Amino acid sequence: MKRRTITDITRVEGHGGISVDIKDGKILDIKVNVYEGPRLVEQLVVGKSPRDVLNIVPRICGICSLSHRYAALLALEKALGVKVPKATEMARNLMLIGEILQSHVLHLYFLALPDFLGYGSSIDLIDNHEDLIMLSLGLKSFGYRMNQVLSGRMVHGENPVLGGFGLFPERSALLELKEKSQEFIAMVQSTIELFASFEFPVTYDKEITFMCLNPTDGEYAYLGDSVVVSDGTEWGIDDYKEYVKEYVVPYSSAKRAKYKGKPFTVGALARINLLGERLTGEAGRYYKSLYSNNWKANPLFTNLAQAIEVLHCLESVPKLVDRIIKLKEPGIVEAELDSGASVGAVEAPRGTLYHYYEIENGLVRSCDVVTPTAQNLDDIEKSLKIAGEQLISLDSMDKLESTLEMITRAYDPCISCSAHLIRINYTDKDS
Amino acid sequence: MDIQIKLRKILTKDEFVIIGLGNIGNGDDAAGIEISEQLKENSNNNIFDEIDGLEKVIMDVVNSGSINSILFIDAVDFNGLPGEIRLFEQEEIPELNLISTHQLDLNFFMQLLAKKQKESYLLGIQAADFGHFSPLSPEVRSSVMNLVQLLKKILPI
Repeated sequence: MKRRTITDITRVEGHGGISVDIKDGKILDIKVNVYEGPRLVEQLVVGKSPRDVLNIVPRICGICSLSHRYAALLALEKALGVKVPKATEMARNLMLIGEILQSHVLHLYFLALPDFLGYGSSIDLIDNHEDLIMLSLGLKSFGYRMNQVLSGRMVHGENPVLGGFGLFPERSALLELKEKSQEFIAMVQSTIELFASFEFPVTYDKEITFMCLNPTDGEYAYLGDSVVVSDGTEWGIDDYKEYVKEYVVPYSSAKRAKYKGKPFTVGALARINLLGERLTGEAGRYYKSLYSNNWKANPLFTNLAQAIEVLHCLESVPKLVDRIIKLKEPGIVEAELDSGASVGAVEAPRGTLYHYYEIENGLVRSCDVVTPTAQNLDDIEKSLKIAGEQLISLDSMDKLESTLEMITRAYDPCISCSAHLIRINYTDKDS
Repeated sequence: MDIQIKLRKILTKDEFVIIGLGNIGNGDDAAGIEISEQLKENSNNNIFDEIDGLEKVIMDVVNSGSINSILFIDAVDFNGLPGEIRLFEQEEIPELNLISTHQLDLNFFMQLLAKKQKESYLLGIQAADFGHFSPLSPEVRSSVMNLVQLLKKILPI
């Protein structure tokens, strides 16, 4: 038997690796290892006030801190009897769109694109693809500007508070976002076409089980009180623990999750597969022209799904701004209760994110956070095994490591917030 | 060449921007931001920091026909003495142990600027303590004060 170990997966958020055990041309085992130490956030917040919780839980991640904040807000407000006005809800949705936009842009242009164009890193793109680099910097700046306007800061914004916003976003700033968002539409369309032109190194024929929130208003959006699954099941988010069963494995510090005992996928590809028919505008047009049954099986379509979502986010900004500025500027709604328990869920950039809090006499008694990457890890391993076996059967061992990294990266795993160099350990003399 | 002479050369020959980098919540990593914030108090509009959005500032510089020099200021680990100050050119950056937060790599930005015929430099301060919520170490605080005084003298304010 020989084992190939990719000790550090590059161009992902955090520290992770892949080990593959191969015997007689077959993959015996494949493991995605997460080396990050557990952060114990669920325990850190016990005994803290909801206000403290909102300062602590977004620190789980610097890329999707607002998704964590929003999911926590939804859970805490529901638990404490806070019903925010429509304008607050819509401004928070705009904030979430900004985060999805800038997170997808980072992944598409800086982490995934070098794979498809045959470069080692985004630095290598500068010479021949300066237009893409400049577009991505412009889009990232715009995403950060959205974060600034809505959340108060580019990263780890503190403006969304229990019951509303510390300072509701100014009308002039919202109108600036509306105008600016339209500058990128044509260039993002080119990006979609670029990603649609790439060929994939592996094929898949078995459909993936997808899962995402089901927005109640029938739109393509990132909030919902129920979860829809590609097997036709739908259940309320309050029941998430019954369906999303978390567990741990001895070789990795990240939690895992199964649905009905099997792996499943959340994120942009899940949303496009389950809600794509709801897309409108240019994003809807691209969905209709590009979508095929292959999207139901091949995780590498995640990049294209993200590119379509970037366009959808840009097209959503003017609509949301127009709706918000028509409404009266909302104040902060005070909590009516000091005890309660509830679940909040949002579609974070990488998929469905659940937060659960139980509050007793104004202090947190228990907390549970289920992240998208924890839900995706089993499916990442499954898709790596299929790809590995295919490459071995095609005698393409030379492409094994790079392709496995490429597939892992397509899921855009957010292990935390860094990237390191790859090192390969061959532990078998035949290697 | 003495740092003072080099800085004077960089900051007086062309139009330039200064960008302070770092994280104000991580001890000495606040040094770059601290300097740019103090320079902003009585400067024109060519002083920025990471909080202003690095991508946007870099894009503006790339698209500018007149700005030719960029000075980044950041806490760095170059195995020097705590508070030691060194000026690095773009070619030296990949060798450095830069402390990055959630931004793109500084090396990436400096290579992009080089491609656009812009000169970029890193004014590095050897950090002693990157601890969460730590204040600036005495050595780095002293270097920050000295650099602010020096840059205020050099800058055409």
